[in-house]
Amino acid sequence: MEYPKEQIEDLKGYCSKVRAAKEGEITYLYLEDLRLPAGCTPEVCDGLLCPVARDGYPSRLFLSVQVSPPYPRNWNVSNARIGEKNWYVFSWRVNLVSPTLVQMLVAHLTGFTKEK
Amino acid sequence: MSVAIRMTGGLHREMTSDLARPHPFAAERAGFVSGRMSSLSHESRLVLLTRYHSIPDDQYVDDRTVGARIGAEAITWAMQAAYYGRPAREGIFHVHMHPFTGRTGMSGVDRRELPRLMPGFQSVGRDAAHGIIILSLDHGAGWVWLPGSKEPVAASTVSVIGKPLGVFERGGRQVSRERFSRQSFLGRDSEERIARCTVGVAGLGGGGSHIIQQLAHIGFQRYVIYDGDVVEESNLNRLVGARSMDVPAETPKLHIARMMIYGLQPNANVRGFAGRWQDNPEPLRECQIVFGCVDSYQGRHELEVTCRRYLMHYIDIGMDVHGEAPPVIGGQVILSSPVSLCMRCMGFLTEAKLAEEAARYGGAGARPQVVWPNGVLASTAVGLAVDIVTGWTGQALPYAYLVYDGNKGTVKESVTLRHLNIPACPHFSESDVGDPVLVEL
Repeated sequence: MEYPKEQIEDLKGYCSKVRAAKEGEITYLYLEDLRLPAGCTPEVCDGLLCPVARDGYPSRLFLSVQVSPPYPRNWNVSNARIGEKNWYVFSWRVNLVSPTLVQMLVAHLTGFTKEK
Repeated sequence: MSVAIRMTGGLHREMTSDLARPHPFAAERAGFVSGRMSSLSHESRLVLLTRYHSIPDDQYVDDRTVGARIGAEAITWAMQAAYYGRPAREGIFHVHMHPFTGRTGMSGVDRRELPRLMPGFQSVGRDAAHGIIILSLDHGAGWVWLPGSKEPVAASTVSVIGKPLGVFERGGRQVSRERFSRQSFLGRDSEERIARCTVGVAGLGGGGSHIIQQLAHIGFQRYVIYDGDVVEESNLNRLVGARSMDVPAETPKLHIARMMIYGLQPNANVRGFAGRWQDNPEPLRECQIVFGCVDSYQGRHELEVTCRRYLMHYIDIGMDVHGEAPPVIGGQVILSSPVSLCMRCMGFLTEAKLAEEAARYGGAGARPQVVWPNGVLASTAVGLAVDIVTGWTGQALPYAYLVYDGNKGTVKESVTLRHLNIPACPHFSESDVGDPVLVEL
């Protein structure tokens, strides 16, 4: 699976490096040093964006650590194993129609900053 | 530092059938095989062979002083393959076959000639392992030049993950004939085959404890086992080996499993981890067969993915009780082998099941469990494993999906297999073998 080059370039505004990681039928985007919204601890961690449907969600953003956000979140998959690494993800559904990769990422990160 | 080499049964067949073909003038054939290096525990390495490259007849040099001499064109091709294999750290291995049975090794000519290829391979594929593999009709040996090393490491094992399983070791292994006299129908060398195989068990509860007990009785000697729980009151209805006193003592299930194994196999090599396999994944890669005794679909999916990556047979068991008037006991035993049909192909793992589980936030909850279905499922799973190792049934099918009906007391092949029309697994490909490759964008 290939993603538009300009969309990949846009993602680099949010992290230090973007790499593709294929596992099974899905090509994930590994976002190194992803900057998290204000109020999150830590402020930076690695992210793994799954831009296609998985686990019943249209897209998912996995994180290398269980982040402490300003508001409590449902971490419904603690320790998902993808690409031989353990990842964390909270329940957050992005229902945008045909979002760009950056729109998708921002919508997932927004999940940290909303009270509900 | 030790190095193990592993390949699928299909790749082994492809290599041996090509290498056995007569050449117009050379006394034997040679070939190249690509291999990816992965890490094991204790700084050991695992080389996963992926693709065989036959050498065309016209790329041999007519030299009657050696069995086979390949020309510059073949060597150039191999160096190019090493170059293009850099992103996946894929190296090149020279392979040929000695046409006899039994242990094999490098001849004087092999020792003199073949290592000369390695500096060239290393110069273009610096981060990969390269080497030499020599097969006999029923054995194999390998030598691996790790990145930056001028001297090879002799492979501790060369494994063929097929049916039957082949685990070729450098050293011999003595097994008591008398002890296994009643299971001699499994094959002439079945005890040795069983003793050489490394088995992994993830989850040592109701299903896993049965599996451990039977593996130890059968004669398995090498174990990698995982469970982070301790014995609780509610486990005593089904946890084989647990005693009442283990509840107040909070005995780890890992300890129960160890005692079961050592009681039957005092010389067994048991590597146990009081936690999830995901938190200590490298030892699991040393297995040739992995049993998944986990509660969740996600857990099953993750075990299958890692078994595909590191070329291991995966056997899954699970049971469920649902309904009320009367309750219905169901269960499954699934064999998923590298390259062959996976749990998605067989219709067991579906997006809908994974999504439903994720919507429940992953928790399986305290589901009904009882001892005898676990026993049936575990026995069936161990039967599949023994068939993989010994090949005693002569059935070559590399996958299985068996469905247990606990109310009728039957185990039957899943009806979904009858309607399958999938020639090859579309869910995993060769690019999924070995450590993940990250491609910078």
